[in-house]
Amino acid sequence: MKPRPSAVLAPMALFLAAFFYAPFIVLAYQSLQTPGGRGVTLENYLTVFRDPAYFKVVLSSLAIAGETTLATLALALPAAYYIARMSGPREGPILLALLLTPFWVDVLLRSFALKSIIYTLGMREGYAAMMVGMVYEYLPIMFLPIYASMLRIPESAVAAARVLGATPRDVTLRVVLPLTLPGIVAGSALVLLMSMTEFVVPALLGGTKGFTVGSLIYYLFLSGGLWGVGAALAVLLTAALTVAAFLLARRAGGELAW
Amino acid sequence: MVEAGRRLARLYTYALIAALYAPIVVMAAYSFDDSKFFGVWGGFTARWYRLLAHDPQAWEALRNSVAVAVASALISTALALPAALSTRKVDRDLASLLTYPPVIMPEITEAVALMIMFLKLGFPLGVVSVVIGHTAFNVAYAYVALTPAGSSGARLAMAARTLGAGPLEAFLRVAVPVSMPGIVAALALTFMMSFTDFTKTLFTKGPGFVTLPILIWNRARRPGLSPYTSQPAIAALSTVLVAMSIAVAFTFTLYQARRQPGRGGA
Amino acid sequence: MPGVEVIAEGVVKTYSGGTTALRGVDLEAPRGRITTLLGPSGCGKTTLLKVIAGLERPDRGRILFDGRDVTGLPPERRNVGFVFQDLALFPHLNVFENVAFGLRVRRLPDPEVRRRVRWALELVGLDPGEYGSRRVNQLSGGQQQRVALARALVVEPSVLLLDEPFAHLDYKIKQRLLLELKRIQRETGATVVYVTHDQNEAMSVSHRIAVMRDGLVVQVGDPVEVYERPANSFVASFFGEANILPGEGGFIVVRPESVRLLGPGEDGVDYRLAGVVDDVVFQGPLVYVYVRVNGSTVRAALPRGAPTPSVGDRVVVGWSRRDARVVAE
Repeated sequence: MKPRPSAVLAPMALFLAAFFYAPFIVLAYQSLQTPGGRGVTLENYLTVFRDPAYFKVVLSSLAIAGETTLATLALALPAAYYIARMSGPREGPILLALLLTPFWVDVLLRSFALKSIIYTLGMREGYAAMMVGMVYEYLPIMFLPIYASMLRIPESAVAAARVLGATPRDVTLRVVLPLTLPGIVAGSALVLLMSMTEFVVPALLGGTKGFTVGSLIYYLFLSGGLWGVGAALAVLLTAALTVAAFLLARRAGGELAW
Repeated sequence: MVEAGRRLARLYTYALIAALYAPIVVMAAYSFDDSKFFGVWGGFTARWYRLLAHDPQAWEALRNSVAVAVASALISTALALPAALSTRKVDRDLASLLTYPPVIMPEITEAVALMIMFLKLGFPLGVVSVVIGHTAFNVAYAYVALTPAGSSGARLAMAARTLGAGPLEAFLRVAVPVSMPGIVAALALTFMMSFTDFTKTLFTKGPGFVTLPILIWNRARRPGLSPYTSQPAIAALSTVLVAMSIAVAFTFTLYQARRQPGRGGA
Repeated sequence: MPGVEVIAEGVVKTYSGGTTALRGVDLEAPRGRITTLLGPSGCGKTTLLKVIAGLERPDRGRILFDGRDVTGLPPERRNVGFVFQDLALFPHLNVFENVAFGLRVRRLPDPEVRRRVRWALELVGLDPGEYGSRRVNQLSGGQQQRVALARALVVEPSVLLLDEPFAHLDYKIKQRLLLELKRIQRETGATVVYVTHDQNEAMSVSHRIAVMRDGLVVQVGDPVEVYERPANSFVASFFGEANILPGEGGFIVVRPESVRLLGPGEDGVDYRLAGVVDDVVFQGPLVYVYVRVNGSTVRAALPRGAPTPSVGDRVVVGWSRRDARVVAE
């Protein structure tokens, strides 16, 4: 017989069931409702894919997310390498804490802060400003899984490679990077999917440019009143992220956990 | 050559970290700027902070933010503590499984879903719905912050039981004191997450309820009309919030990073 | 691939924390022989191995391979083989590619790589066809051990360095691998430096033993020499079992198997002491008798089947002069 979870889990589990998991069921139900609210339909999902106005947002949002992913990957990789594998024993934790701390400051505050620098540089709201904001927001999410993978590489694997004749360059290319791959994949998938939902950065820094699936959901719910389509979009995003997260969690074995 | 590469990587890392803090520093500088716009320096002034001190809306927002954050921190830590004190593998596996989605799920989908549920149920949106909304993600963070200290507390509580302490005595005299660092970390973290949260609040607040981040959002989106909505004034408000978040967050992440197992000895 | 002669001269290594791992070590590992570094944990034996490999740079002293000073060379230019305590197999590569790693970074042509990997896998007793494409984490501990050994041997190293390679294995598998290591060493003529804290392992494999303590080599010799003429009481008790009794000019060291239990009127010994039997412990082929004599305890190892006293019996123990050794400390 499989052991059963204890009652001590109940308070947390019940609360999450009621106010985190149940809402997603309601959301899924909502996505299958016609605008009138009578009967079940796939109309909302079909609209997302058929209506060029929506589909264009999905595509432009994918482009923004893709650029954000590539930029954060390029920026995070060397820093993760340095902090995980080259920094001193006292230096490492401090650099890590410094790098991750901005992550805890809400995106709204950080976007507004970024505005001050963008104005100082003579720029104004627009696509470029928004991309800077996106990279600023998602850098830590890319950094963390990559850093975790690198930290896990045993020192002896590197020593073994050196003894076998590998130069430091060989070690980087043939040992460290391949072993970091699960972290790179995890970080990229997370940034790609999460940045599609971003609506604060485009709203504050994008000006008239840059409209993501997140912006769309925001307008559909808080201005447009088109709940059905908004719910369908949210369900699609949630499903994609859930599938990706569980695939990664199984393959990467905890790169995603922090 | 190796040493040169290391120095380059170090220089890069330091520069990257500096770049992450530059916007915050620049914003803080502009909150003392006597001109009304970013990008123009009109001399030093503390008038935006004086304005803030006499801003009734900001005070109301502050009261609301503090109330929501205190309530959510206490509730989420209390809900997560019993789970974090379990040493059984089944419990830990299930708890990680349950708390993982709230950490990675984009906040907007979570917020929209909760809003629809509340509206369908006819639950009035306001301070209570906001607290519930914050607690739904905070409980996961509280669990993560509590587990390490919690599990050693639970192990020592078992030892206390073998020494003759009753379950309640073992819990109060051993498990709770040993878990105290985790409890403090969880309270601080969830307070901060809630205090600065914007997205969840926006969707679950209903009309009329204002927290500090909501106030910043409202003002930042229609700048310049009144002194309250000028950029340096918002910067002053944001700077106060950011300074608080950073102080708590840096302490917490440093504590986590120091506790992590280091790289194996060479 | 006959190995080189390895010499360490006056090697000093202090770690950044201030702990001194090596305090002026001299060592000679002869060509084509197995030299064991034996000592308790923290004695500096692993550090010495890493200094030989180039993984640690000594503060002072030199490392010579066949008379050539390699002290300044990085590890990748020393052509050594190293088997790590945790094996350090590459988890992202299969068995074949793990073994091939050293050849790939030397940019050897593919056919040559395949030929030599096959040779190395067969040398350690793994079928290249069956195991080559396996993932390393699908192998048993003993098989992983063989892969690590093949990976170190395939580059035909000047010296093969082994850091407690069999520490985590079952007794039986360990015994078998020790025998195979000796066979492989004979077949290849490699110079081997083997680090262990286990005296039985050291006795099984070594041509030469260097006993280390607190960052110094305290005695070097072949196993029989070290066993029979320990330089001090530390060596005597760390390498084999020993009775160490206070005596004139220091301590008297007597191995338990040299201690005899004397019947009434029996003679043929140079020293004799009367005492009371404290305990009798059966250990397979031997029976240990613990005899309390003037406040110290003398252990005698008797062959099984010999007449054995009972606890509480009054007995006389003795040994001859040539079996006892006087050491200063």
